[in-house]
Amino acid sequence: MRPGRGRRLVRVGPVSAQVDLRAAACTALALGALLVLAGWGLTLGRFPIPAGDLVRALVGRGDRETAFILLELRLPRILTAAMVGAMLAMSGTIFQGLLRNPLVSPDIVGVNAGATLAAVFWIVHRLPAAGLPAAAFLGALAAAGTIYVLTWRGRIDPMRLILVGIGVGALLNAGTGWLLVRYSIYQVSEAVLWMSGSVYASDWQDVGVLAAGLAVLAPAGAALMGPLRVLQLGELSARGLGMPVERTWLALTAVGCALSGLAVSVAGPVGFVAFAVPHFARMLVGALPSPEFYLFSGALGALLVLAADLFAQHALPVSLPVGVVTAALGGPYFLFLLYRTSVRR
Amino acid sequence: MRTRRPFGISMAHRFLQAVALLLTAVALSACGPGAAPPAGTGPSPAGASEADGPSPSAPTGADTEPWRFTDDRGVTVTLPRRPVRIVAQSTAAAALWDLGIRPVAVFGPQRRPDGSKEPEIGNVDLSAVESLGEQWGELDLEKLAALRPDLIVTTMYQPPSLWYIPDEVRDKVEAIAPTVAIHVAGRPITEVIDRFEELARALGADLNAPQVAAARQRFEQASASLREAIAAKPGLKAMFAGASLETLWVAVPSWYPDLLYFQQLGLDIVVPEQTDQFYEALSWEQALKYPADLILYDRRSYVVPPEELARKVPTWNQHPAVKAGQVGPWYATAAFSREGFAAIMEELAATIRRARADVVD
Amino acid sequence: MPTSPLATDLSSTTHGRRLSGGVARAGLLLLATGALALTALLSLRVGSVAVSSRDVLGALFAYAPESYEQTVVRALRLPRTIVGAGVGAALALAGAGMQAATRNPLAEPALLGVNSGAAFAIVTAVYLGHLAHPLQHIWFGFLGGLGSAALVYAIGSAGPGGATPVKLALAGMVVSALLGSWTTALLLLDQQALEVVRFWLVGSLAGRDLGVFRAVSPFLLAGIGGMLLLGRHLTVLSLGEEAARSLGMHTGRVRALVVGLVALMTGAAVAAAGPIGFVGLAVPHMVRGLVGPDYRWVLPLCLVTGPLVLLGADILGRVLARPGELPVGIVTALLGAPFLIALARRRRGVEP
Repeated sequence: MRPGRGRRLVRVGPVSAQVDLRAAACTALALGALLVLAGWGLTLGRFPIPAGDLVRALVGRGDRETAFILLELRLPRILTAAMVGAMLAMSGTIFQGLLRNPLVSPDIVGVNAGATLAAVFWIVHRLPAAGLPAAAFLGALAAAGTIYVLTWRGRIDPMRLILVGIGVGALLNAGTGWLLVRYSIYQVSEAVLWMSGSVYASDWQDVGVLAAGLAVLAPAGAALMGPLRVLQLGELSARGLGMPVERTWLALTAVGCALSGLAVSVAGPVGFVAFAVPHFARMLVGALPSPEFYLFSGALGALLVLAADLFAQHALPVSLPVGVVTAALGGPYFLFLLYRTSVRR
Repeated sequence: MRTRRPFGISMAHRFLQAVALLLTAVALSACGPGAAPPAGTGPSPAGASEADGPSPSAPTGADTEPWRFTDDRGVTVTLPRRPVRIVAQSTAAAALWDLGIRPVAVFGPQRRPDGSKEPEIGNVDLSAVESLGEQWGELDLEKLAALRPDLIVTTMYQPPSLWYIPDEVRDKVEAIAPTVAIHVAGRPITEVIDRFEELARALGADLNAPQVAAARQRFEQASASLREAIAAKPGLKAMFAGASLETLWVAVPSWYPDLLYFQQLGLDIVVPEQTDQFYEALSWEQALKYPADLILYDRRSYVVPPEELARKVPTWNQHPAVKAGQVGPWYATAAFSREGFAAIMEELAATIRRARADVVD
Repeated sequence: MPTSPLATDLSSTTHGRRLSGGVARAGLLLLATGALALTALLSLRVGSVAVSSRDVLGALFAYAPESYEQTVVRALRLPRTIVGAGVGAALALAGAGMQAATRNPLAEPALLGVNSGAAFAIVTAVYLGHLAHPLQHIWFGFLGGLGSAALVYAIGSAGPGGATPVKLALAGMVVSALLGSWTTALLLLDQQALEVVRFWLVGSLAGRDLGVFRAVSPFLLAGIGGMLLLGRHLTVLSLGEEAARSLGMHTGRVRALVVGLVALMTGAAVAAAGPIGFVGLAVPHMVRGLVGPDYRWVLPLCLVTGPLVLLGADILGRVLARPGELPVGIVTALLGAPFLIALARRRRGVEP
């Protein structure tokens, strides 16, 4: 992959910037498709809503029932699914770039394992549901922080981070496993539902939290793509170029953890998205980190998770959590791609 | 006590409504020209629904007094008239069904993968009711809303958590219709059934109907005969348990309505040390921790049957009750129905009459 | 695609003082064997019920079935000790084989997707209603494990270059994640299946009768024996593709053979005890750290140390959570994870 392929210097008056045109175009396309899919999703469901009622309800002139279905059930769920997908994909992009390793996802820094242990603990002890996302988020951050501290020896070594991440993750998962066998099946089945990753219970509070997070973290992550690219030249070169390597590492890790931590705290560990979407994105627009690539990855994640959730709700005889669908459908497709690329190479 | 407004919409979304509108308008225009709203925009008739029951607008005659019921959380539901369209969780539906109340839809366990009925659903005719989902977290909110229920009835094992209504969606469910929750753990089964009868009466059931009265009589007789059987075996110690190949678990009576009632009737039941869970889990090495004359063994389909334990777990065979051949069935998920529970008590009474009380001191 | 640091040389993670010389290594092997014998006896002696040494001996040599203590030893502790020893040996050897064949210090048998394949097959069997015959699950688990390993290998070895470590690891991760989510879906659809398999899913030695072990032992023994014969090949393979080829080795064939053996013995181990992590990862690491990368020594030591570690973990699990017990899969994770973290922290900061 030659660097700079498809990049153009774009000049708007005095402002000029190098833009990866292909990634930018793909991002626009993905966002367009996302809007169409979201609009279509609003019309789907067991409660029939004619298009006219749909518009009336959205401008606040429909009957209360239709408004309830649209505004309290369908719209928050659609927005949550899309934002969760975007955040997981962006987080995966950051970590795969940071650790220069296509095999990692945010799980490696313990976000999923930490959030899961906290959430399962919360659920089996019947603590108030309102606190569940906060508990999961704190669990994710605590796990990520622990791994970061344990990895730190004057600097962060990617391989060491992966090893420590696997170790801490296994420890946390053992704790979760213990809770799952110790408590009665009544509490455990609720926990398993959370663990499979679902946007079933999305409400406007979730949407607000995710939107606020995305508003901060999407630009922050995009801005860090330049430094990430420098970091990928190797630590020595990056230092040679005058980059504060440790601070960049910390910033990227923090943004990546916050992205996936928020997503997981709202929806549970929706499988495969953070891991696979960056791969898809790379196959479509190339391998180097850039703000455009990062945003494209996010848009693609949003599109895929929303599509998976609509499929999970409407295409099957029983409704399944979205996490099951992302893995059950994303997995085979990913295997196929993997097979095809290795045969071709 | 607040009167619930159906389909109440939280105010939190207002600031996002503009965004949503924009988004949808763009999407709709992309979908094609068929999306133009009709010109006349009066209040939209609610007729376009899937619900096939009596129209909610049908006048119910003299029945105009407000309807009130205070449930086991202490929440009083107040409705303008007596609710007709009831949606109930499986256990609650089964209890109400035997009292003559016919829910329009049920949620919670209904059928096993092999097609047979789950015990929780009791006598409910599954072809006559809608299903809103069987698994935890599968309650179909849109279908629930489309049914336009007047009232949702569910149970509680650990209040205030509603059974089969995840806490995260409780607000949405209660925006569709008010909920009534009956506490079904930690008190004798008679109290639970009494509560279901109070609810059924409030919903218009005739508790003097011949069938209901007959069930009540059979229940009283079965209780009396079980009490006699227990009294005839002084010193009899019973243990309620279930097991897998890894674990023996001993039920904590204070959680189970049936066991609490058996205790009231005089049965001496093993009480494990640990009581904050529904049961105490023991490794098979600890099989003799609680001696008993009689073991009543969980007969749910996924519990390893005692015949298999006898072949695979030698320490099970060393339990005095097993040695003495005194292992009877325990139907842990019986419906809250006088008829059904009378049959269970009759069987238990027979088991106890056959049992020896001197296996352990 | 950037190259994976997972494929870095083993020597960067295992360094420090190593034993060299045949005498020192043989002494170590002897020491470990002694420790294993002691642990096995301890496993018969220790548990949530107090049993005297006299009863342990009685249960072994003059079994009196009417004695409860002797029944506990003979019927509960003896089977789990035998199963634990067999499973521990198989997992450790399989881990050593995987790490050499993929030149990946993080490789463990689970990477081949065996665990998730077995879990998926068993949950499917339970879901479809084979509830009454847990012994049947063994074969489902075994075949599921082999099937998913074959799938991983087929995808990981497709195309020119054959089964490279990165491709294999990627395929393994994807297949595992995929089967894991299907398993979750089935468990969500059937709460009773969850109740049946949740103890199995964390990995446990409790409730294993010898019939189960007898059924899978031919595969276990074949895998162990085959792997022990491959010591020299594994050493060469762990030197890297180029070096191995220049020494005249058909790396593709050897790797396929190793992976086949690993699948066989891991499948048997998972079927017998459920998915138990960390033994396959940590034991070979530990052993290589002690005796260096010569697999003619690594393998026999793994054969002894694997059971030692697994039985030790099982004893702890029985003692810690009385009157219940902690499944051994949880204990191995609790013990293995700090080990891995310490190992990682000891590692020099090398840029991959």
